[in-house]
Amino acid sequence: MTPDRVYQFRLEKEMEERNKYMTDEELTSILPGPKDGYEILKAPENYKPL
Amino acid sequence: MSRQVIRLPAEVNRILYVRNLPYKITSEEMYDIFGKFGAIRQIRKGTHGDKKGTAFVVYEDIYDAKNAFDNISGFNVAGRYLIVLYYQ
Repeated sequence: MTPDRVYQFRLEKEMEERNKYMTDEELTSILPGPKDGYEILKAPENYKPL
Repeated sequence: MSRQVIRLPAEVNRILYVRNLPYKITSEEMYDIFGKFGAIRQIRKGTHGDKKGTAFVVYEDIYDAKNAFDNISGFNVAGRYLIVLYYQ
């Protein structure tokens, strides 16, 4: 593996880690919730994620 | 050409903290404004006191969050300019 490939590989690992799926529990553990004055909005029925 | 991984600065993450929102903004409007930049994982809107007018917008993908951050600061909603920060 060339140094550049090694760098790319490490980059990919880092971004994969930062971008991995967060469960509802994980989100609730890091974000303020109903008892802190924040409500979780219900997505509109016709909402189609891009 | 292998896909070039773009490394994002440390402070970039998938959760945006938004301020200066109209108090009575609806879920539909929030999803409409922020959904343009990518799939939204969840939105938490402030309901009381100084939390009103603020929200946390969580994107599925960190690159979409960056795209939203880059394009939405200063966006005008009902006469109010949105302030957008990365959640730390």
